[in-house]
Amino acid sequence: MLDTIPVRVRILINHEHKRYRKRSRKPAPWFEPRKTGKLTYGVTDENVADLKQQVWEDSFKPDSPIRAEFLERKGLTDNMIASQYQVDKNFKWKFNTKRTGVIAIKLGMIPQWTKEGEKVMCTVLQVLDNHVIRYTPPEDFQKSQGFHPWFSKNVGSMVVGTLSCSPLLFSKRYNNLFLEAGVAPKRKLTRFLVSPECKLAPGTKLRACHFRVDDYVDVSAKTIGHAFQGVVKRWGFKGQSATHRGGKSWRRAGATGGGRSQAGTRRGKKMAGHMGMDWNTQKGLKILRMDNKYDVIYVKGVVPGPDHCYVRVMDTVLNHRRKGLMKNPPSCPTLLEDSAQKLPSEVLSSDLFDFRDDSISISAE
Amino acid sequence: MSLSKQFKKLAVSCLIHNARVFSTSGCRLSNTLLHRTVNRHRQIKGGAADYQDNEEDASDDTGVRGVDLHIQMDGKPKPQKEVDTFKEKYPDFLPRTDRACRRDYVLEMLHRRDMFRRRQNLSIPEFYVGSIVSVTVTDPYSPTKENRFVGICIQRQFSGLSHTFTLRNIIYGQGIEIKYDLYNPNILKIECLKTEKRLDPELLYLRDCPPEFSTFPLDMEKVPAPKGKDVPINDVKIPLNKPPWLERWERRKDLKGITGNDRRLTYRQKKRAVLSEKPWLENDIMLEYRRSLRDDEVQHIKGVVEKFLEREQRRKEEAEKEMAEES
Repeated sequence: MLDTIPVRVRILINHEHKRYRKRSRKPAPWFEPRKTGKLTYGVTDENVADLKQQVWEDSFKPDSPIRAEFLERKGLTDNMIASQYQVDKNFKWKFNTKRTGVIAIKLGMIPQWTKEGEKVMCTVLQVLDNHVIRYTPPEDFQKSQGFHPWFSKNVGSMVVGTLSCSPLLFSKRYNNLFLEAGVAPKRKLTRFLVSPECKLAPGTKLRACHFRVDDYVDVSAKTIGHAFQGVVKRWGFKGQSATHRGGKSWRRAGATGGGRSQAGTRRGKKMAGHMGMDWNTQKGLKILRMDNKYDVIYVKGVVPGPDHCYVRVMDTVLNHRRKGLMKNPPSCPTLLEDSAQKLPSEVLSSDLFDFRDDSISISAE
Repeated sequence: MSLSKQFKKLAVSCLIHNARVFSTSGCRLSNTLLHRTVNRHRQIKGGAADYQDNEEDASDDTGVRGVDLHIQMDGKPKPQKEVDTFKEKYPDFLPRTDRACRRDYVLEMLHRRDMFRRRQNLSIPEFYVGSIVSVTVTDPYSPTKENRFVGICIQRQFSGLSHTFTLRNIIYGQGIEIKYDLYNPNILKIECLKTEKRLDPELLYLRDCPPEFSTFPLDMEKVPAPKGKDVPINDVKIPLNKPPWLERWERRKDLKGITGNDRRLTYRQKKRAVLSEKPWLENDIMLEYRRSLRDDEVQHIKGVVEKFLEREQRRKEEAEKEMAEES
């Protein structure tokens, strides 16, 4: 009955830093520029504010004539779209099942205590206004520009967006991306690789209850940018002594070469350069506490990025935690609205000290 | 558009761009949001919940929808003294002032929620830097499973749940300082044995003073505070030991509670002291503004704390009534 868990034998762990270029200046082929010029030509100054207010209110209404036109053109109706995304009742959680992730905002850090009395620093992430924008099944995804050959073949792409904005801020091409979902245009979009069993209809709201307390989560964000940094700060080189051994070098790298036969320095040599502003993932972070009223997740540990940065939160990729998920699978594709409303407003992990309890005391035996 | 107008527009847009680029330490903007943008999105009807401080009384008006909004003030101007006394009495409820860009009002509300819950179970007395405090903590390795320490409070740091206070005492000739988290659940009891203030906000110089000024008996009895008056200020001036010191007290002319913080410096030391001086800091109004808290924010927090204290008192009175009725 149980699914076979693939056996992975780990012999060596490669701690070498990546030797390929991490960042590129070219925008990706699927990138849609957002900016627009002035859209309020021919409108008097008194009416501009009213117009903006009206557009803002209209963007939240589900029936829009532009959307109706778009659906007619494609030959779709809302019922047809919903029928494509019906939940499979015979669905079984497999080891490699991938659910969507969620875009959260890193608010800051807060200390919490366990029931044994140990202090635990938690990062607070807020899941604000997430909606699914689009899903492409694996066959179409493999032909699209966003596909890379190292992605697995059984994976579709799910585009999720946060933070609704007025359509006046963006270009028409960008606004048209949200017609299928019937949602106001979003400030931030990301793409999650998702297995076809976990597909979600465009327009579905994602909340913090997509995850559960005591689940493990991978959190990725762009690290804090440090600009051009020297070798001591960037790679942790020791530098040279301040006083002895003259030579006017204190924070320099020192020797760089591999010898005459190597004919120069190796590619990927650790040197001074741009530090930070990289997408980094922290794996295996435990969710200790959740607040379903404010959509706030307390995650144990530290998360990359500065405060108020966008953060991608997904189920872990770590094998050991995935094995735990097999025994206690999460709700896939996501928690339904009805069950979400029945959840308590605050959920704490069983290890966590609830401040409503008395102080931790040990009875003298 | 005329050339001059185009130029002005370009100059203004450059200014704004540069201001944005250099305002938050350089290159961290592409994946971050400004605090006010986040607040604006929280206020949207479709998405966000009401961020109220007292979730139990939903009918209260003390819910703040955003620090940037104007909070409705009463017609009567509140005296400055009340705000200042509140700041000194509850420094843990004041938000962080070191970096305003790292503040978030929802995070502060979450801190405050846990702090109120803890305060329902542990009565935290009013104490200041310079007061003598006793703390009882669970200790799994002691025979009584408890550990009591008495000392003078020399420092109070950080805001919210991470608020700490340091107690100093000299036990069997050894100076001991212990830093406690105020909201640590291991703390069983905090008692303020002598409520008083000193002339300085931090008393770290006691490390370089004679031991008699840091010794307090462990079995000290509680000294009742004078009722109806302000907190007494102990204006004792403590003489420092002979140098060398742990810190350069000769550079700290602002400390009023010590004497003898002059020392004979060599020519080189004097030169270096002059180089390290920053006389412009006393005239830096913008720095003072950045490190200060707005009065309306403090009054909002004060209102929330006072509401909590009122509710607590009511609960205690009701509990006492029930006990009296039962007996």
